[in-house]
Amino acid sequence: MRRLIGITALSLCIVFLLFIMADAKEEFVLNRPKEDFVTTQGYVIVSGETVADTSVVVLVNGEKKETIRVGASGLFVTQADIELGKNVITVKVVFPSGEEEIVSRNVYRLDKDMNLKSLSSIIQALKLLILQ
Amino acid sequence: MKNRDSFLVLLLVALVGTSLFLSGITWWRLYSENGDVQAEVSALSVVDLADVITPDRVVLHFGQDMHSVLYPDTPFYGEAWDFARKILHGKELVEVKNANLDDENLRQKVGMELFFPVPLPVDFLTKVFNMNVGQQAIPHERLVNSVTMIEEDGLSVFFKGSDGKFYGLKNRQSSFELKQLLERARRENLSVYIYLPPAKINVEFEEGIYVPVSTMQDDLPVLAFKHEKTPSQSTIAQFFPDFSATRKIEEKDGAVVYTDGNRGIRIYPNGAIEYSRPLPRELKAGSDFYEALKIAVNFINTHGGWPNDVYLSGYKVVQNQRTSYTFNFGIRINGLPLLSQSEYLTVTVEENQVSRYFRNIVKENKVLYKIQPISPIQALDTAIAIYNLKGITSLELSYLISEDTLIPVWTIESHSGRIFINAKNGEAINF
Repeated sequence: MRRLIGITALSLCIVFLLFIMADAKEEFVLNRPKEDFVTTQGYVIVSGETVADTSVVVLVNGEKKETIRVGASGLFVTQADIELGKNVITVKVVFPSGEEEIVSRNVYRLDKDMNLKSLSSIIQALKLLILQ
Repeated sequence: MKNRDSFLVLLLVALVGTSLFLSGITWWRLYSENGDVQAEVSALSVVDLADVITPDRVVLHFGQDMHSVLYPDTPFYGEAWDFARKILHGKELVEVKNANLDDENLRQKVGMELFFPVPLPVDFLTKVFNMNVGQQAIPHERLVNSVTMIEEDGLSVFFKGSDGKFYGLKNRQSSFELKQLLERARRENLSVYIYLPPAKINVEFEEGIYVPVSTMQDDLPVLAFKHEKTPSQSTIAQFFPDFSATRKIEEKDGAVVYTDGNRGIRIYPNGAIEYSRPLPRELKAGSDFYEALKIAVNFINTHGGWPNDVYLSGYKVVQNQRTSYTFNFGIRINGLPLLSQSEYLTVTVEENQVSRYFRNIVKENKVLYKIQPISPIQALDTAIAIYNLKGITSLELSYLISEDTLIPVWTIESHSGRIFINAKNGEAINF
C-alpha cells in the first residue's frame, strides 16, 4: 500500500514538473498587424512584446526586412513596406534560450482611390480571388 | 564766437547721445520684462476656465491603426481643442447606459480623443462648456478623464469617466467638420504614432502607450529659465484692503513680510510669494468645484496676472466643517509639463475666500540647444534595466529643472515612485 502511495506521489511530482516546464515556454505576442488587416498605406506597423534580449526578424512575403534586438521592456515596434494586394507578414523570434517561434499574418493593401467603407466586402472578394 | 559755436554743437551732440542712450535702455528693459508686462495686462481680462483645463494631449485617430499625438504647442492642437469646445457648447449630456464601447474599438475609428491633465467632475465640465444635463441626473462626484469624438454615421461624442462609465451628447452631430480637420492634419505630415496595448510579459504596464513609428522625432529645446520678477508695490497692495495699515518686516533669509495683523504675504528672495489669510470659524458660504476654481483663477489673475502656459494639474477637496479646495497649477514648457518637487502655483479656496496663495513661476528664458529625444521604448528599456521595474503605471515626455536648465525627460511612474530618464542620452537622472 505504501509503495503504491509512493509511486502515485512520484508520478504526480513528475507530471507537475512537466507542467511547469511546459508553462515556462518563452512568450511572444504579436500585437500588430492584426490578421486580415486592410490598409491603403504603403507600409504596416509591426509591434509586439516578448522577453528581453530576444531577436525579432520581420519578413514580408518571405523577404527579410529587419532584425530587432528587444530591450529590457520586451516591447518592439517597426514598420515594413508592403505591396498592393495580399502580403504575408512573418515575424520570427529567437528567444535567448535559442528556441524559435514564428507567427504570420495576412495583410491587404488597397489602392488609395478605393472606398474604404466597403472594405469588408472588398477583402472577401480579394480572399476569394486569391484562393481561386 | 567760433569757440561758442563749437561748444553748442558739442552740447547738442551730447544731449542727443544721452537721449538716445536713455531711450535705448528704456526699450531694452521693456523688451526683457515683456513677459511680466503681459501677465500684468492679462489681469485686465477674464480667464476662461476652459483655458485652465486644456488637455495634456490630443490623440488623432486616422483609422487603419494610424494615430498622431498633439501636445499643446504642436500644430492643430489649438484647432482640435477649439473644435471640441464648439461641439460641446450648449449640448445636452446624458449617461450612456449599457454602452457597448471599448477603447480598442474607439481607437480603430476615425476621430480624436482629448485627455485632461487631471480627472474632472462631470458637473464642472457641463458648466465650463455650458451644457445641459437634461432630466437624467448625473452624480456630481463622477470624474471624467477624456473626451472622445468619433465618426460613426455622424459625429458621436463621449466623456469617458474614470469609473469606466460613458456620458454622451444626446443628439448626434454632423461629422463633416471633424473629417475636414483630420484631413488637414493628415496633409500636414504629422508624426505617426502606433498604440501599444498594456504590456504583461516582461513588465506589467497598466496603460497602453502611443509611440512614434519613426525613430526620428521632432527636436526638443534645452532651455535656460528665469523666475518671475519680484512683485511690485502695486501688486503687493492688492492683497490688502488698506495697504497703509500694513507693517513691513525684513527677515534674515532675505524674505520680506507684509502683514496687517489679519493677513500676510511673504516675498521670498527669488520672487516667490506666499499669501495666507486665516478665515473666521463662523464663516460659511458654501461653494462648489466650479465656483471655487473660478475664484482661484480670478484671484491669480488679479494678483500678479494669469501666466502663460499654466494649467490645472491637480486638486484636493477636503470636507470638514467647511469645504476646502486646494488647486495646484502646473507649467507647460514647449507644451510638455514641467515637473518639480516644489509647487509653482497653488490656491486654497474656503467658503468662497482665498485662504492661501503660493506663486513661484518659472519661465523659459532662451533656447540653449536642441536635442533629438530617444524613443519611449528606449526610455522604458533603460528604466527597467537599471531599476529592475516590474510594474509601470505611466510614461510621459516632460521637462525637468536640472541645475540652471530645463531639460526634456521621459518620466516613468511605477508603484515604487517616479523615475526620470534624460531624453537626450537615456541616462537616469537622480531627482
